[in-house]
Amino acid sequence: MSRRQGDAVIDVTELTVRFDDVLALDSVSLSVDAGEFVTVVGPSGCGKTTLLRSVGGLQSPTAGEVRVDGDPPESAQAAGDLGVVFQSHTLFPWKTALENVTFLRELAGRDPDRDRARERLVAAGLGGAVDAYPRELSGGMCQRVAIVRAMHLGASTLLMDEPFGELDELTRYDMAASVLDSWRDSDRTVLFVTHSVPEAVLLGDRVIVMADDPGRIVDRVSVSVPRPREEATMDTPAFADQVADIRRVLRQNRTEDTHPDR
Amino acid sequence: MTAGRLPEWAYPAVTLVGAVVLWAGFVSLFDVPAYLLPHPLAVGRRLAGDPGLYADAAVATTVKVLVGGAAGSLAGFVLGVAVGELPPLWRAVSPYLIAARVLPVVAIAPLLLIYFGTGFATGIAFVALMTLFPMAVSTAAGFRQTPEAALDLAASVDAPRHRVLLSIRLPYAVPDVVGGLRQAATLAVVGSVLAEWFVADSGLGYLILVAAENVRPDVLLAALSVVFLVGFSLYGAVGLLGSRLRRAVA
Ligand SMILES: Nc1ncnc2c1ncn2[C@@H]1O[C@H](COP(=O)(O)OP(=O)(O)OP(=O)(O)O)[C@@H](O)[C@H]1O
Ligand SMILES: [Mg+2]
Repeated sequence: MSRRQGDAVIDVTELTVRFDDVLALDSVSLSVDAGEFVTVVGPSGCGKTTLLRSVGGLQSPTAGEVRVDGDPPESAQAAGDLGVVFQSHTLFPWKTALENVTFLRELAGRDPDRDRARERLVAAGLGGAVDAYPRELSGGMCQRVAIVRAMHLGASTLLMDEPFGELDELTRYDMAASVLDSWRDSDRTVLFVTHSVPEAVLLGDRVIVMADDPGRIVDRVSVSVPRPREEATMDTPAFADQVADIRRVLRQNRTEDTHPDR
Repeated sequence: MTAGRLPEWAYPAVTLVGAVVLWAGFVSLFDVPAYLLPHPLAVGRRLAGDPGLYADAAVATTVKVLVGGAAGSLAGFVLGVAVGELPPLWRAVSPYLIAARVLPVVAIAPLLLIYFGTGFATGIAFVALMTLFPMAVSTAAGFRQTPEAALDLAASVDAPRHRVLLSIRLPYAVPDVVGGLRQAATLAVVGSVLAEWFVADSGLGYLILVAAENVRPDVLLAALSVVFLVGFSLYGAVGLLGSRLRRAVA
């Protein structure tokens, strides 16, 4: 499938998702262009995961519509064109790291391409873990395997739900850098959920800021910090300003009894 | 082997020897009459005196255990997979599957006698019924163990249903299925002996029945020790199979 820069790959229109008495998403609209890297920040429980699951076709809307490449997400699922990284790593305990990486392609009906999978693991600094089982790996390593697995699927749209949640500060940055690298080298579209405002600014072309109760979008910020962005970028005043702006928005929309992380 | 550590099998062996020694000591010390509790050596002599009798009975019982247990476990597994895969079916039958554990299967025995007569088939059917329900409940529970996120991952690539069943849900169900098999193994032995009481044609249960009617505790205990051996071997075999299966998916 050839896509031009500027085409909307993800189109969310007035999406509402209600769980019993919780309004997880209240009429959320969002459009993500081909090749765009969009990050989503917001306090715990504001519906970030629900938004991502809806885009992935894993959560059906109460009202509104989600389209991926112009069709319902189920079409993208069937085409193996959605790579999802979940908040918990979801590796299968009876499979090695390598087998976990190739398994998703097999589930999608594709050739597992073990050689390429091995290369990807090595490139992600997991060379020593290729044949290890998840129980032999740290939580952070498992999460990295899960990211490699989503990359290996070869989908052009990546949905990532706090993929760095379990990583320590330094590894977090390394993984962010490698996600950025592989995004730049492909024409992937990324929707990336995080708790961390600096991470959202470091990675995103745009940052979607959400608030809870009900879950909604309260701001959309175009990140003006130029690319390539590196570790040192985070020390620049421009970067600090954008982080501060977003934090201000989060604080203004904070409900009395909840506190946004970081 | 590390110095000072006994091999794993030695611990239960010590218990067994200890129990037999206590039994012998108790009988000798208090001069317990043989018609109440015979000396272990008397029981041993009984076994050694007519090994063919006990071997034949053990074979008859074991065949019921294996055939009935395999049929019941397999049927229970299939039923468990079906209700685990189809939530409406689970909702429809789960109250009865669970109620079936409360209902003593023995209560169905007279019905089986009417349907299958007083032969081999009744014993098999009884053992199968004993094992079917726990196996079905355990299997169904196992198929509900799959983490939601694993199913989401499969759904995100629209994985075919049979792949999800075989490559994801089945492995996650293995610990529960193994648990069900363990229960089935124990119940199959209980079921065989019970069936031999009310069918009264062959096997260790029949031998126990006859021994009791003739007040022969030595024969009864000899048969009982063979039941113990059969049950123990079966449980061990299933345990071994179970840990292999579990290791494959751990
Ligand atoms: N399956 C569900 N059933 C009922 N309520 C749900 C369900 N999933 C989410 N919710 C509720 O919807 C709201 C949004 O949840 P969601 O998981 O999308 O938040 P989140 O922003 O991802 O939070 P976090 O940062 O903690 O991961 C929460 O109040 C949550 O309790
Ligand atoms: Mg979440």
